[in-house]
Amino acid sequence: MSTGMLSPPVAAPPPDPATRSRLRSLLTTVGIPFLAVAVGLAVGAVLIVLAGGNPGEAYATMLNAALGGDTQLGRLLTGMTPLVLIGLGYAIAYRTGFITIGAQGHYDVGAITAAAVVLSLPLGTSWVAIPVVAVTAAVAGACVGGIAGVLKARLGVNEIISSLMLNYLVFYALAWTVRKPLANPNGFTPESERIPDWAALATIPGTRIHIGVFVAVAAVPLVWWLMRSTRFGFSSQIVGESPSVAAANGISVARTIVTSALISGALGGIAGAIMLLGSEFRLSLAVSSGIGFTAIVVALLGRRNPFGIVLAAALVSGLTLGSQAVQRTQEIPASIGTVVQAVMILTVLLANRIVERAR
Amino acid sequence: MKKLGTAVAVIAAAGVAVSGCSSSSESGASSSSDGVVKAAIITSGPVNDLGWNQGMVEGAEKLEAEGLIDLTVVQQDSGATSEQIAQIVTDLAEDGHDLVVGHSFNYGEPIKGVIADYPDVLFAYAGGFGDITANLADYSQPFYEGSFLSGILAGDLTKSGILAGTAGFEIPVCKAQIESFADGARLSYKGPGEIQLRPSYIGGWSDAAAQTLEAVNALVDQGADQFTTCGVDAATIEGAKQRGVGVAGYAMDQTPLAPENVVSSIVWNLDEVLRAMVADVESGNIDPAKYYDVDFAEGGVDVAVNPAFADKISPEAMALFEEYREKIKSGEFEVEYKGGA
Amino acid sequence: MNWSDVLGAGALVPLLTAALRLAVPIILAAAGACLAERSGLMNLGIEGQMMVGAITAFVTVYYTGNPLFGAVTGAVAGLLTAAIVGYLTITMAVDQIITGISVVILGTGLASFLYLQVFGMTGTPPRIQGSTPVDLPVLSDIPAIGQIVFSQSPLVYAALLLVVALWWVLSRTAFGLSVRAAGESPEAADSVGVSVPRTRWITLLISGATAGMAGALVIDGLGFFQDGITGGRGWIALGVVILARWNPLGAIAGGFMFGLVDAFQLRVQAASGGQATSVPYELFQAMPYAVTLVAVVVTTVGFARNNAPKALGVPFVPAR
Repeated sequence: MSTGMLSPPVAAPPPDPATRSRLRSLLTTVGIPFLAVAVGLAVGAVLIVLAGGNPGEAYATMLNAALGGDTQLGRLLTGMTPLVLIGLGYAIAYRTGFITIGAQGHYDVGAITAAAVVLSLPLGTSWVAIPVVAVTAAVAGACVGGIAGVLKARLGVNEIISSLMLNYLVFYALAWTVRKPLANPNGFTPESERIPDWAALATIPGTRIHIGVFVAVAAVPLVWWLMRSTRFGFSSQIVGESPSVAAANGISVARTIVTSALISGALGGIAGAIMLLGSEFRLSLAVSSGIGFTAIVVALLGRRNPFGIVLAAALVSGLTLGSQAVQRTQEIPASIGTVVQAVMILTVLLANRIVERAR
Repeated sequence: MKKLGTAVAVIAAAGVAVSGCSSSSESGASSSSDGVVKAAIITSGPVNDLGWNQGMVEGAEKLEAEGLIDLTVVQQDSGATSEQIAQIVTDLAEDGHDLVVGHSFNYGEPIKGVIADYPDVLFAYAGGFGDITANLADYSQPFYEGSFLSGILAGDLTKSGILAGTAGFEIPVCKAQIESFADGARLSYKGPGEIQLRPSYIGGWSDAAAQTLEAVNALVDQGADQFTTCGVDAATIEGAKQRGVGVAGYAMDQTPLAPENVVSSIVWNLDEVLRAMVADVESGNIDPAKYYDVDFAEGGVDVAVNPAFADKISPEAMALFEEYREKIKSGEFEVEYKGGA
Repeated sequence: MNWSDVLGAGALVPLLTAALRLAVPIILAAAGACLAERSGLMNLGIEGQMMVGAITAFVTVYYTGNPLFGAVTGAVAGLLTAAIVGYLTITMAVDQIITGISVVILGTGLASFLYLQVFGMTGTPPRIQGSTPVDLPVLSDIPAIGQIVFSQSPLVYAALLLVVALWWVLSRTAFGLSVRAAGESPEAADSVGVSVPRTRWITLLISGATAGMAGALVIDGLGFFQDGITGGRGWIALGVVILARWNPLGAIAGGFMFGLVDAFQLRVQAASGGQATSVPYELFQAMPYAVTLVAVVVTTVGFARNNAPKALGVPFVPAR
């Protein structure tokens, strides 16, 4: 607190408030993500040095692994697909204040459903299979998500705990499914039979990218439209900011929360189904890969904004591919990628807050 | 507006990448030059597990020391997805490796999806049941032969007559190993009643360590005092150490892990298996690929006894052990394989 | 399968002993979290603090051979990790939930990295000697209970005593009073001179320390370290806080329930040999989580909605 005893030296007259705030706005929207990426990479560089590696070489390898060629770009896009879908789901849920971490469960149940459908129903062709799987997987995911949603909306049960427990329950359902009902009679480890050829997702000619990518691409503007131009979009924002204000304005808080839970569940389920029909082709325990947590990183880095999520998914998917590559070629632990991602989010959170306070 | 910032950052990074990179897929299918085979091994657990993975890596390193191969080791854990393995295998083949070994039962599937693209590369995985196709080889894990001998010693040492076997999953290799452990024990057991066998399939490999440990606890509570283990050896040996029971080591001489509990260990001489593969790569015999079945008689597998147990094992049992070891080695005796359904 | 192998007279004592052993890390982390949540702070980073505590303890015990040192350094590591949460959520008033989740990711990644750094990728796998159980004189001779409760390792006793101490601090001291005030109505507390940020800092650091020590307990029991070794116990602890109605003593009961169900399902699996049984063993594996979920729902509906600290999760910005 200044006491005003010494007057500050005379400075040049400041720019007018409008320009200043626009400058500031530009600085933060461009600066903060840059800062986050820079800080994250810096911390990563320190860790790489500790691990006995060369940061320059390591980062070059990582960039190459993500963007260095057609195969790499194909993998990047394939890796981004589930992250975008699940990230969008989180964004919708978090908007209403429903902080779920249940995407892993939605994803797993989507995969289970997809496998169950194509392995038991003689649908015979992709044209029929894809819509059927899409609907059933979405419904299955929505059910799981909906449980946590209803528990929160109607009973006030903490959704972090409930969605986490549901993840485990779905995982054990998966474990049983691959050991018993869908088990491969010719296999020895718990896994399902390989899905029939007609059920596998087609790939873009000349590449290994499956058409599931288009689902993610389509979802982005859809979700953007949902959040911007529908009543649900408006209500969810108000419910998230202040449930009492929402209720006072006639919005059913419970219904909004449950709807957001259902939608995020459905998106997760679809992501799991796409993974199964597009890249794994066989249900197994390895399918439950921990992508639910990675997608939280994506949703948060992308500021819960559909287009931001796409970019964040590119960044995270690239980091993952890159970490695998440096682990393979330079024996640097892949966990560095995880640390870098976490540091980036924390930097974003901190920087945002500092900017907010400076206003 | 907020997303713009992230956009700029990512695009800038991409710009640097695109301008600074060189196409990576041109490293070409350079095959072995001057007789050194470029070999790669993908593990399914830590390289220092003193068991399944370390055995393979050390076997390969022996060949590298002899100048036969140029070795790359990629460490993965048992939770890797098929897609990840397929990517790694593809990248290794692209990098010019002539021999790519996926050291896990679970890697067969993803590797099969890649082999058609690289007909000049010999691929191999640890199926253990003769699952060969085109340029994909399989290699056996005849642990059941060694386990029979470990069982003879266990049958002598057990007081309760209850033996236990832990394994990740009920795959043929592990099932056969656990069954022959009991078969061997029946030869030397003199106690009351019959040998009882309690197999326990944990549901995971090295990633299910805590469950394995608790399973060992539970089995010991139920009276088991001699263990064999297939693939979940780290946690099983730790559990045996904590509860003071005997355990047979797996894939390498695991005495150092628990000098007072590891009675004997099945030793897997992977350098012999790899040697055969490398020879075939050099002579170009990679399609149709072979089932590399280097068994006990051929020196692929042996059993090492922990010297600390020398005075605990009865002389009769030890003699029986030596007798059967010679017979299996000479082919006079064939251990019954019970890995089938 | 033979049920008496799991529940018979001879099997019951080992079952309950294992239950307590499995439960203690959760109990300890939950008790610390009770304190933090009572002051209004949701420490979601517990799982990350546990992982960091586990690796620190592992390295310490590996080089010093002393499990108690391991527990101490584990606690310190957990405390430092919690400080990150504290700086962001208390000093900077950032959202507690996102921060917590991010710290979990950070902590898990760091633990994995540190392990590889210290022990490298070659050589014999690192192992530590866990603390040996100590039979308390007289008490351990009590039939049944004696073996279950009074023949555990010294770390277990220390942890349980700590939990009781935390309860005592919360309910019987002036500091405990300010903790509760900070959680129920921070503005009122602020107005009577209680420094809400300082109170929350202290409870948060305590929560981090207990989480780190819980991680040390986990590796003390297992004797080795690997990725994900805490197995989600940090998250379970948060559920136990609700079950316990934010009372550290309640955390003992809640955590024990989880440990019991966990020990039970492991024994069922072992007794059935992991093979074909009429009831799929995955049902038993899922049991601890299903029971926790049901218990949390029941507790929330029955009691907790009124018991949750009113300012839980709300960043406190002092009026200046």
